This record gives sequence, structure tokens and C-alpha cells, in this order.
Amino acid sequence: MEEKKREAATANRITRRKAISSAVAAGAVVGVGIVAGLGGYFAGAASGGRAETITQKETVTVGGQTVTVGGQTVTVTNTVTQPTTVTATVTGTTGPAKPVVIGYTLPKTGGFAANGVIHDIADEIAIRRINETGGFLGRPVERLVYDDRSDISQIPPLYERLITQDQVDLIVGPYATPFIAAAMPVAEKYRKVYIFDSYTLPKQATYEFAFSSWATGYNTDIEWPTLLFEALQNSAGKLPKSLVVVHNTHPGATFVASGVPKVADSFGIEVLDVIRYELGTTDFLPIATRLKELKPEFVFQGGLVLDESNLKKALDKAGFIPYGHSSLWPAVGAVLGLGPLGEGLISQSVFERHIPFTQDAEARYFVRNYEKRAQEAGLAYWKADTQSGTSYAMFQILREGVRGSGSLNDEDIGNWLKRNTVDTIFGELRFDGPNNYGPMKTWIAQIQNGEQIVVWPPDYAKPGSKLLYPSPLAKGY
Amino acid sequence: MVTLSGVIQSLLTGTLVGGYYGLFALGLSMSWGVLDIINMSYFPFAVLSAYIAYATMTIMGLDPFISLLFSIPSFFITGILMQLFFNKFRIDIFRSLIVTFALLVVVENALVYTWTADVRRAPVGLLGSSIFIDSLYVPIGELVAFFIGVAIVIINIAIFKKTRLGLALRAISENREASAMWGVNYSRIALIVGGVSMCYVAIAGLFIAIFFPFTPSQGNLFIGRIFAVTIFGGLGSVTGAFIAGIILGVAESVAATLFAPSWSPLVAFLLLLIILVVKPSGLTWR
Repeated sequence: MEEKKREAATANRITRRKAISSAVAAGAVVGVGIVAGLGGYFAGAASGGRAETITQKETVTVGGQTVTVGGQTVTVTNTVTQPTTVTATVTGTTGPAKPVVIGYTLPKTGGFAANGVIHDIADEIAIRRINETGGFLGRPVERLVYDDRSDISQIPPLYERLITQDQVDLIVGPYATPFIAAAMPVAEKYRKVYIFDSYTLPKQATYEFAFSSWATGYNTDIEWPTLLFEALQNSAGKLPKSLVVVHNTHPGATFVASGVPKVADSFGIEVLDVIRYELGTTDFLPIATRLKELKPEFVFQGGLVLDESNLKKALDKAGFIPYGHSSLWPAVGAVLGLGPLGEGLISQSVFERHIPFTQDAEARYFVRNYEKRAQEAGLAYWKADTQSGTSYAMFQILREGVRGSGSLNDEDIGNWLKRNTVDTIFGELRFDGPNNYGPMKTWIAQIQNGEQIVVWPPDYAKPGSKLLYPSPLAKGY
Repeated sequence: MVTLSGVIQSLLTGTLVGGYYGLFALGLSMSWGVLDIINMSYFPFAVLSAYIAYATMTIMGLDPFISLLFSIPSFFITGILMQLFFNKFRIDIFRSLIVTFALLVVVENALVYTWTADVRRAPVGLLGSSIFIDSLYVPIGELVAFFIGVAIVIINIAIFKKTRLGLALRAISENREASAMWGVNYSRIALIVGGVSMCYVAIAGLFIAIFFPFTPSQGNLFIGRIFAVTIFGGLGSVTGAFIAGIILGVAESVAATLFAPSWSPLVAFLLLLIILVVKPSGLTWR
């Protein structure tokens, strides 16, 4: 090893001499600058034998003489700018393999940043795991992440930049449905394999090489409410007689909520109203007042992040707590922060930090490392769950695609994923259905005793748990 | 079917929530109307006040209002420093938008760096509950914010009407050059207004911690509404801003109750457009 290093060092010295000779031929004064530049360049780029042509403009200051003109003392400086071309052959030993760069964006600031930081940490753990297990085809893997500032208009230009200027090897999706949708046409334009983690519009993911790590299924609008009412019927042993659908204008929430009335009707549940509110609503008191008037037994909320916490708090202020309250994608930490008021909230989940999920060795690796890192980062809610899990699984899918296809070619990876099953921390995923969606693997979770756990179906439920309905906190009827 | 009690409830909660919008708009209205500074950085600064309140409650275990003992003096000084900068570089109304937007980004990023982008929720106790009168409810936190807003408006009216400072403020907001001819020291008055506006921001920000789970970007959710209230109320009019807030809050609440919550922004901003067409100067109570 030492001998190889010496050889490499010798090769570098020879190369510098060649460079210096060439530079001197170009001009003695200018050459000084060139030598310094080339020395640094070659020192940093010693790899296999190759010829490099470097053209650079050097600005050199000559003189500094002081002369007297017309009784005034003036300092004269001469500036020379000269383009110089030097050809040099670099020989030496092969250095570390060039990393495979995966480019994408995340909302590190702005309205989506609360979840963006979760995804960032999960991705960091996923990349670490990939590198610990051999990287991609023997090459280390790095990620290049831009902050999209939760601004959807930033997404297409940033993905264009990643692909055309940064020339990343691979891309993955940003966080949250509207952003993933915004990057998809760019991925399609350059035929990049496009794996993403938090997309809730399966019917619009029509790009041939688009793959979702969140197994929502193709018909989430029907399948998810069906699973919810089956859980109420079978796990809790009781169905509500009436419900109100409350949803925001987020396209994913609107899509899922749109199927609820039809499914509720098939279970014999009366839908009293469908209340729609704007994304970004902060004042939920009018909705709470309306619900207090209607007194539904169950509230099906299609919200995200802070909506559920805000509505629960407003309902409490209004003096009305329904027997049951389900949501889609709440910020679990915010709900837990409500204390007893957050108890019993039902939501979607693909991964929680309990058996059976943690029977998988990689899932345990993910939970252990993610939670350690999230605590170090100062997150108030640091537990591994669906948000972080889908992010980790996104890189698992990419990893299996690269290793399975034995290629970094996007189409090879995409075609391999379409034909094969991928093992992730929440089970085996398939991409053989419409728009590359396999069966729904999204389960019923509930906040119980200050923790979110999966309660339905039995195969994925925390051992010994069941869906709790009606809520003992219900009031205002 | 909406009942009469539902309508009365929406009027009541709309008034209280609107009072909070008015309280939030006071700082911007003063700054914009008197100093010709459209200060976008008030929104993340309000969130900073929420974090100070959060820390007071969770780390020190004290009442959230104690946080005002820290935030008001520090915000007052910050407001003065900002105004010194605006005076020194002669920042006009249009450049103020750009400069303070940059400041918004800086402050928001500083909050992310300090607190992470994670969601925080403060344990607010009684302030998160309600007083119940028959079938009606009166949310206590919103009620407190409303009365603090009323108190600030009354104090402002007294200052505007009864003191030399108030006279100078009115003169500046009418015509800065002419007021200077009459001996009004704009630079000194501007420092006071800049500082006081930031104090209003500190008070409004405290209630972000009381009302919502919040993140560093929470203030941005209020930008559209607070701008509407400020313009609607008449620039520089504290009373106008407060009343405009109440009108907007009631309009949103009643629209949500009678039609749908998704109609709230439409109705509220339609109302704003109509009023600006009929009375472009806004309410302009001083």
C-alpha cells in the first residue's frame, strides 16, 4: 500500500513538471500562476491515466513601480490577462470510486418543513444503510438535496437543475403530494425513474416509471374508508349511525374524502354533511360550531399536518367531542401534544415502531438509528412512524431496483421494479397494477395511551390491541 | 339546517377571532400608515414571540403572559434598531417590502435553525377552554385576546387625542414634510412608532402559542388576512384595523356557518373589495 502511495506521489511530481514546462513556454510571468493552479488541480484529481486539456485565464499583476509625473507621485500597475492552454497526462493509481449522486428537494423551510425535517433524517439513515451494505454497484451513494422552501413553483426548475446542470445519477421525489406532482413531468421529460414517498393521487401518477413507496393502492378513495368501517365493525364491534365528512382542499384529501359517502352508505351509515375548508385554515371554530349543531356520531376528517389538532381543539372549545374521529395524515406529535384530547384519533399508517413491523431486521435498524438521530436533531416528536418510514422505504425501493437490474440506467431500474417484488420495512411491495400501484398496504392506526399504534387489520395490529370506539371523552350530545 | 343559536354563535366567535386579527394587524397598520414601511418581517417576529411564550411555559413552567416581560422590551429595542436602519438608508415604501421580505426569510430560517421545523404545542390550560352560557360557548383565549386588543385601541385613542406625541403622529401620517416644518422630529417619532409596532407584534405572537400548534412558518398563514385587515381599516388607524378585523372575522364565521368554510376567504375578500371600491381609504378611524 505504501509503495503504491509513493508511486502515485512520484507520478504527481512528474506531472507537475510537465505542467510547469508547458506553462513556462506560454510565458514566464503568467506561468507562475498556471503552476499554482495546475498543481492544485492535479493534486485533487489523481486517478487513472488520462489526458486533460485545461484552458484558463490568468490575471497577473506586474510592477507596482512608483514614478513621478508632473510633480505627482503615481503607483503604476500593469495587468496582463492571457488565455493559456496546457495539455498534461496524469498517471497514477485509481482512487475511490466516484459516488452515485441522488438528487431531490425537500421543504426545509416554509409550511411543509415540519414534515420535511422528518424526511430529511429518514433519508440520511437510508443512505447510510445503503453505503454500509455496499452502495450502488460498488460505488458510494451521496444525496444532493435542495430546499424547495415549501414553494411549489420552485420544484420544476430545481429538478431541471438537478438533472441538467448537476447531472445527478438518479432522482427521487420531494415531500408531499403537490410537490411530487410538480416534479413528475420533469422526471418524465428526461425519462428518469421516479420513486416518491408521500403521494396520494394514484390515479394521476400516469408516468411509466413513477413508483410510490406509500402503498396507498390505486382505489384509496374506496379501499381506505372500507377498511375503516370494517375496523369499526369488526375490531370495535360497533358502527356509527351518522357521520360528517370534513376535508380540506388538498387534492389528496379531496380524493379520499370523495369516496366516503358512497362507502358509508353501503355500511348503512347516514352522511349528514360534507364540509369543505381551505388548505391553510387556522380558525376551526366555525366548523366546530357546525359539527356541534349536526351532532354526528363520527367525524371523518380529510386533513393533514395540523388540521386535526386544530379541529380537535376547536371542538373541545365548542363543547362537542364526537364518539369517533378519523383523519388521514396528521402530525402525530401535534396530536399527542393535545394530551387526553388527542386520544382515540384514528389515522392512516403504513409503519409503526412495534411488532409485527419491527420483526424485520432492517426495520429495527431504521427505528434505532432514526430515533437516535431525530432526538439529536431536537425533534419534539422523534418516534419512527409512517412519515419517516415511507421515506426510508423510498430508498429501499431504489436500492433494490439498482441492485436487481445491475444498472444505474433509469429505464432498466424502472422495468425491473415493474416485474419484481421489493422487500421494505413495511413488507413486500409490488408495482404491477394500474399506474404501478400494487395492493393497498395502508392500515388503521389510533392514538392509544399517548402512542400511535396500528389496530387493524389483525396481521399488522400491535399484538393485543383493538380499535377503541366509541370514545369515552365524547360529549355534547 | 342552521339554527338561530348557530348563527348567534358564529357572530360571537367571529367577533372574538376577528378581534385577534385586528390585534395582529395593529403593528403593520402603524408601521405602514405612519412610517410608510410595509414590514413583512412582523410575521416571523410574531412567531418568535410565540416561541418565547412556548419556552416560558415549557422550560420555565410559567404563565404565558410572563413571556411578555421578555418579549416586549426586546421587541421594542429590535423595532427601534430596524427603524434606525430604515432611516439611515432612507428606505421608502416599495423598498421596504423587499428589505423586510429578506428579513422575513432570515428570521424564519433563524427560527428553523434554533427550534427546528418541528411542530410545537404549548400547554395553555384554561386559555384553551371555554365559558358555556346555555348552548353558546365563549372561548377564553380568544376572549382575552379581544380585550387586550380593545385595551390597546383605547390607549392609542387616548395617546392620539390627548398627547403631543399623538398630535405629532397625526401630523406625520397626514404630511411628513409639512409636519417637519412645524418642528416635528420625524426620526425620533419614527423610532418610537417602530418600537411600539414591534410590541404589538410581540403581543399578537404570544397568542399564536396559545391558539395553535405552530412551526417557524406559522406567521405566513396570516399574511393575506392581516394585509386585508390593515388596508380595510385604513393605514395608520389602530381603531380602524381593529374594527376591520372584527368585520372580517364575523364575515368569515357567518359565511362558514351559513354556506361552507371553504367560502370564508371568498366572502371576506369580496367584502374587502366592495369596501375599497366604495371607500378606498378604508375605515380610517383615528
